[in-house]
Amino acid sequence: MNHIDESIEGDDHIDTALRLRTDEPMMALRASRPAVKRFLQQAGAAVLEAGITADFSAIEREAVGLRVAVLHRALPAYARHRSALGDLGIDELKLRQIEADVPAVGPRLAAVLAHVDLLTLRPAQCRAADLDRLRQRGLSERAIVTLTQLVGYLNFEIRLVTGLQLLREHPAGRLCRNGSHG
Amino acid sequence: MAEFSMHSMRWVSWVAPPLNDDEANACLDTVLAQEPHTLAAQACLYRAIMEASNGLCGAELELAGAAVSRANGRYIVSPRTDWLYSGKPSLQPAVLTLLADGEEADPTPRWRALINYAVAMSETPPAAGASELAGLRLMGFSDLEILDATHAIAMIAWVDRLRLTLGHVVGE
Repeated sequence: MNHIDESIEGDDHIDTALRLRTDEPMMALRASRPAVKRFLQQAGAAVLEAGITADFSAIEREAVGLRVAVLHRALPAYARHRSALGDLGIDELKLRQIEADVPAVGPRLAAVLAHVDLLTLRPAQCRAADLDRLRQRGLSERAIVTLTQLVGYLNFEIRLVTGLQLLREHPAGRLCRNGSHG
Repeated sequence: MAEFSMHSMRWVSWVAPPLNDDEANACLDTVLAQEPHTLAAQACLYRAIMEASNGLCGAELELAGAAVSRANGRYIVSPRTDWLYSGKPSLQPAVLTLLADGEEADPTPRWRALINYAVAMSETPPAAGASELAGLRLMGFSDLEILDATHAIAMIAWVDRLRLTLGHVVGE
């Protein structure tokens, strides 16, 4: 259940995405919420790494990650999922096909990526028929849950990184001395 | 403009639950249990975020989460009650009043700053920037409080993407 190696405490994948140095105030701020750090790392591992089944492959998961990163224009996530796909044998041409406005990929992955766009950009517009389109391409009920949790987690992570970057780029002291500015 | 309800609501799944579960009564937890590691980590993370102490107060965690839900869709939920879906909102009265009044509501400047941050953060890509952060700081939010708010906002962005896309809500 717990896949977390204690040695990566204090340097989780969020710290890595932000390239935090150990002496930065942000490191101490994040460390003041140790349970959040710990379970966040577990959740990230669970959606991307643990329990990879035939229902939803590692390549599909990383392609979803890349697609969410593109929609958010989130550079650290973009680099991370591109690199993971490269390790899985996906070449530059295929990466660009996943990233394209209209992805030039097989019908199953195309249906998955269209669903990623819907869930990320317009979740309230999702209807039962949208899940049928996934089933028609062979996704199991479990794979639909896997996909949805993955998109949900990534939308969590990118917003967290955005907030942390904002805090880091605009330290409190400077804003206080200068008063408010936009 | 989002429609949302303060009345008790029921969530109905579009996804079949694992074998042996009664489909008609499937709640979000049973559907999510098909990925048990994810659900377990998410539930612990949710509680760690919503029950954090000595930082952002409970009402403001709730407000931040509810503002996200309202920006995302058609109903709001009570972020600090039961993990995922409790069936009945039990937001703190001040937060309820604020959300019921919608655009006409007149929150305190502190709450307005928090709502502005939550709404900007809910866009894709997130649109929160220096001005939203300055707005929070001007209202006295500490870095720890802003971190707590960011955690709550990001978590409800996740949970909403489950609730809105694996099923739908029906009034009772």
